[in-house]
Amino acid sequence: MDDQRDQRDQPGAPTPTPTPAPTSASVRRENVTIAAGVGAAALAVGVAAAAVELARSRQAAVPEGAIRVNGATHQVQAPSDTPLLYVLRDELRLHGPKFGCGLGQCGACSVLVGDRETRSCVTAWTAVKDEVTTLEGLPARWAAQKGLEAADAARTLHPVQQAWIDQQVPQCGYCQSGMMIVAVDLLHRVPNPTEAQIRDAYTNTPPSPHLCRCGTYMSIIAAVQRAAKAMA
Amino acid sequence: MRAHDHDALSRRTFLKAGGALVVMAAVPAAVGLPLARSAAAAGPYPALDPTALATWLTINADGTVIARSGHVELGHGVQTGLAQIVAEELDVPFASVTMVLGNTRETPDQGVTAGSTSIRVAGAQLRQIAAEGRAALLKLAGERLGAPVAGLTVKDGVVTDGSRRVTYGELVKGRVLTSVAPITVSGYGGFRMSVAGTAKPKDPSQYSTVGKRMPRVDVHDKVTGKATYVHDVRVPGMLHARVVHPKGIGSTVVSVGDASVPGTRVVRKVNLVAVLAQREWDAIKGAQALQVTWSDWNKLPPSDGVYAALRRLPARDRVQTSRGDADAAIGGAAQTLRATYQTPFENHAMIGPSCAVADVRADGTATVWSATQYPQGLQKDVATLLGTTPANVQVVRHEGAGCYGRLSANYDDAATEAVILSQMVGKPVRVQWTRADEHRWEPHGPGTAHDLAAGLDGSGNIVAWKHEAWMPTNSDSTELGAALAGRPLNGTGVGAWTGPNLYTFASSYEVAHGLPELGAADSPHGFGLRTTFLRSPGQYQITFAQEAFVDEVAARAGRDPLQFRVDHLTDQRAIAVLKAAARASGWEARPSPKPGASVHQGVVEGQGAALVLRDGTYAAGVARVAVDPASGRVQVKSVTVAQDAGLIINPTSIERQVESAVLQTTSRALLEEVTFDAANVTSLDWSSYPILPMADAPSVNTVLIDHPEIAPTGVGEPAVNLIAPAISNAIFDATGVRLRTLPFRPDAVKAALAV
Repeated sequence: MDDQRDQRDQPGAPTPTPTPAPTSASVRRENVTIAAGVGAAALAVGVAAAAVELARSRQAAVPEGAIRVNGATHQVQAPSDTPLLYVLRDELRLHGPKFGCGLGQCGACSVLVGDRETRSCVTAWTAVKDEVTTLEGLPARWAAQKGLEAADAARTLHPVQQAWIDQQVPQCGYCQSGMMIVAVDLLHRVPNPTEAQIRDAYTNTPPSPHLCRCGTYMSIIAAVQRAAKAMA
Repeated sequence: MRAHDHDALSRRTFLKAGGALVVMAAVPAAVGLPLARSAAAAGPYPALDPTALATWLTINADGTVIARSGHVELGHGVQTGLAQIVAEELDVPFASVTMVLGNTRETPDQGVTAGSTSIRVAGAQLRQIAAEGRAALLKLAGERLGAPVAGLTVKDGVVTDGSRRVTYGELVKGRVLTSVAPITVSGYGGFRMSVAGTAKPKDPSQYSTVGKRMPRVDVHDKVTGKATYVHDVRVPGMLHARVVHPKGIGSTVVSVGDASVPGTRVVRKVNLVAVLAQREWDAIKGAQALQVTWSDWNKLPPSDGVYAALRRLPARDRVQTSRGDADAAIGGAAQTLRATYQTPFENHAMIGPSCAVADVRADGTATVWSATQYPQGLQKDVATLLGTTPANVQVVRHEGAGCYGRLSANYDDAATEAVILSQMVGKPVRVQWTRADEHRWEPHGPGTAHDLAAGLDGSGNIVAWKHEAWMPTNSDSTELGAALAGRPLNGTGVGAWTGPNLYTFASSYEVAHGLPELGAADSPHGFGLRTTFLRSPGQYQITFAQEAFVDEVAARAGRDPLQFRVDHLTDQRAIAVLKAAARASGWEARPSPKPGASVHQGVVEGQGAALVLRDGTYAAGVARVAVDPASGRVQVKSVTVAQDAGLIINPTSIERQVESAVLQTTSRALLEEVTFDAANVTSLDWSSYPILPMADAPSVNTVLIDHPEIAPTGVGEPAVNLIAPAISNAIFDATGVRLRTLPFRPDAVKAALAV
């Protein structure tokens, strides 16, 4: 994990400032709504706020009975064995991570825990100690990484998302949240991957390959390389 | 609130237009209600009038346009392609058109979204409607400007007579707009539906929006997590349900235990057993823990003997081609070849298992949120199930995981389950299938068997051809929930041939032995192993056998297999795609197998070609493969597809459909087979039913041949048919060994090559 953190804290990244994580109900609710994507204006404000929040919260401890998702801390009432996926989808109403198999076999549910792609369908939420980033949290994550001002952050998608748009990757799109999460993980570890490295990452990273049924793999390869250039 | 995307979409557009919605003619009053009200709004939902322009089109005060189609977005880009067509005919900017798709309260019935019909059928209808809309607007403009219509021009929704100008938005303000002459619609909702009027659509030479690489309008929301898939729909007061499905289709409930997980409730109607809870995880755990005893039903022929079983089923024969006396001609030919081909049962394999939400209300009306390919079809089924009329049922269609035909004839199994459960508990119910549910209970693509024979004359030309196919039905339209609950809907038919044959052999006999579903005769429901349309159904299997066997015959004749095809064709479009594929792929013109083809010298490479006419589209493909005889591993390195689908609406969308077809079918050909025992399917996850991972994806090179003078034809299916035979042909080219049974899994390939 140390090497990853080193890369994250490159010049240009904001210096993490330890502050207490907000836990009040109003803040939580606001962020939940924002993350679910209701209205462009709300989203813009939300992204900016979440970016600042993410930067602040880098090293904030997650209290017992809570998880940190996309820059906000949430008290969770779910039974301790509930997979993270259902907390994200049903309680936080996030649409990014999808239910595909419940077996860790397809990757539709992937989220970042810390910097690593994690299958949320087979990970109990109580086992998650690091910050969770879903598809909805990628813009703020990037904004925090680049130290963008709030106004810029509000207008900015994560380069991986932008590459997915520019490359017109999605067909049905159901698997693509997981695919983008893998891309962020991969590009964090390997900033300029070869096609072989991309194919390997999507195929051979445990616990399973990331599956797309519509046949977008070649577009994904092109998009990851495009994002790598944008992030360089 | 977010459960109602289509309403939200409409509302946003209205708001964008300053809230001053200007409606052309008699838009149903309910259209455009704020979404919260639409959720609660009870029926009846009046039927739409497809002959009224306003049913299809709304011009807002700011000039933006809403167009409505009964077809739905399956990830194939139809929303974008249809918007291009509408924008083109109306002469408005592409960005000003918003498509509303698949909501039975708002969108006219254009039939099921299947069979590559979204552009060539639904698009043609919308083109005519938009042309009628333009003509009506020009008539108004002529009156307003006091100028003859013939002298008016339109650009970006602004009409001018050369000196004065008026916008579409200004023209319709406060006015009921009707078409210049009546619009007639025949065969409403059917495959043969037509929309006719008096307006003449543009000549393709005038197109400025159609034919362009317009970015997909659905991509941004899919990439940012804002898209609401049916799996994301949440309705106030909703309960989560997990259905505990039977052991086999003929199994019945012997006993059901009590709910053992706090917060759950067990509900049963005949053989439909479900666990309901407010929290999804409780429903999951409750279903896993529920003790249900089922009676045994062991009436399926197990998959290891399925091909022999198919030949024993009672068949209804349908002759596809009968020209000359094929048997006699084969008997008297200089050379004769015979071969048997087999294709397995396959999954549609949606990445997201079936999911639907239903709200059956006490007043007898219902709303269903579904990813169905046919909202109006599901609407009728749900009405039948509830003993009411379609006017009391609204289907709100959301995108789901790509389904490739799985939700076409079988509109939505999960929806019928949700409807029954919602009716029983009096609350909205969300049914989410498990991965095993989907792998086991989806209506699969049927397995088939094929006997082929060919006779060659002294010059090595085919003079006689015979193809017998054993084909279970492709058209199971039962709804699982309805059957389990003792309220069966619809039925199943027998299999049939699909697709024309381009070859002009002197004598030819092609027959489909149409079969029922496996186990149907011994099932209380009339269906056994369920089978329904899987992307290019029937044609996929027919083309595999035919295009691989043509290659065998070419090899026997010692001729280049691609040129051999050309020599047996007269259709110039077919010849053109073959030659284009040859050029683009660097085809080596020579007989197969290649010189030095071997199974003893490590990894060997080969080329293989195939041809198809599907949905009016000509497609030819060349696959290049590497075969490792030691491991049996087949790697498809690249695929080139040349395709002529007439007029091109959006090249990027077509290229993506071709890539999709190639990768999905590479997966089917190399890996996929549903296994089952006498009771049910046994391949229940992605490890027992693997699909292609990225590492094994071939590069895809697509060559599009544009024929603007020919109406656009299908693009979702054609290339699907090329891949399995092209791979078989390339393996033969590399090794000299012919593989005739799909899939080409390493163990099977290794065994076949161990010669």
